[in-house]
Amino acid sequence: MGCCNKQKSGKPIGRRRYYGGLLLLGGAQLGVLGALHAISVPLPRYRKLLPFYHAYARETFTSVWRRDRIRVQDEPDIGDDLEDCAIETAP
Amino acid sequence: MFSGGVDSTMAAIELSKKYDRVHLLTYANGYGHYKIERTKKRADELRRFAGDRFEHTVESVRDLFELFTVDDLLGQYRRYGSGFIWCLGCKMAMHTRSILYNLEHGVREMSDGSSSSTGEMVEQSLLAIYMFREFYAQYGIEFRTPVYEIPREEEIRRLDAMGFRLGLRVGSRFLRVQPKCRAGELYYLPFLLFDQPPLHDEDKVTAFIEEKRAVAGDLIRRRCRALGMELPEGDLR
Repeated sequence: MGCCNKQKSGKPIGRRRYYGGLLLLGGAQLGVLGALHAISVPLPRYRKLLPFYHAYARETFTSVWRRDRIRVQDEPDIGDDLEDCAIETAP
Repeated sequence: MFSGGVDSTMAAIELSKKYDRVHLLTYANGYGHYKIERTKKRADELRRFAGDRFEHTVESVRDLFELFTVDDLLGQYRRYGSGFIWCLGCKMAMHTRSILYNLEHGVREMSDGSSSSTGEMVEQSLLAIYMFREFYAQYGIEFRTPVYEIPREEEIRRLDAMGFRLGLRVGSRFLRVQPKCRAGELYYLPFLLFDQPPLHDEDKVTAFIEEKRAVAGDLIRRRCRALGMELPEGDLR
């Protein structure tokens, strides 16, 4: 759980949902990538989507992998908490 | 603007209470929009329910979508930093085509099925709706969202009671009744799987819509000139 009422992320999700979702997302992205390459042969206009899709899929997957704006239950985002709730200590 | 889903069907019913003639406009962007024929079945259902007051048109917006987004896809992705460019570019193409349709047919009111229950979709955010309203107003057309405040469960209950097909229910969504958009499904997949809110920075959304409105404005002016039509002076803002 983050602190300070920060609402950067959506609702917390379970670990099984996160890892299952990661597999689904990766599978879906690979499926679309394969389909784009295949359809680009008879329909060359789809070829111009490929550079974008490569960048988009990679960045989306990385963002999910890093858990940006995602809260997984039982795995507090310690880095965020430390950053937002920094407590000054006496030297 | 009509997809045949819960929201746009409900919007069409609401409009049919007010008008004798309702134009249902369905668009395909040519890049991963399919099962468009499903909208015809829904239009037939509407005619059976409310009589022959619905005129259904299916049109391609591929040329506009390519102009707005596809031709410089990677560049725009780098500039705006989010995949929203796909959905919003597609929507701007649809709105531009709708303005042309309205001007050609003398229709002064335009509606879609935007709903607060799907407000996570960039094109149904309050900011985007406000900017679309301004866009239409430049041409003397009033843009309305008649079902925005109706809760989704209420819409479902009403459509069910009126005997409309709802399709296969998954959560609050229904499958097999409206066209599919592969890119849109993929874009919102992290939201569905992980509750990860999509990145819709308001400044960037505003800049994107303003950029497309300028391009669309030139195009609409040229098209009107070619058709010998005068652009309306009225501004409803």
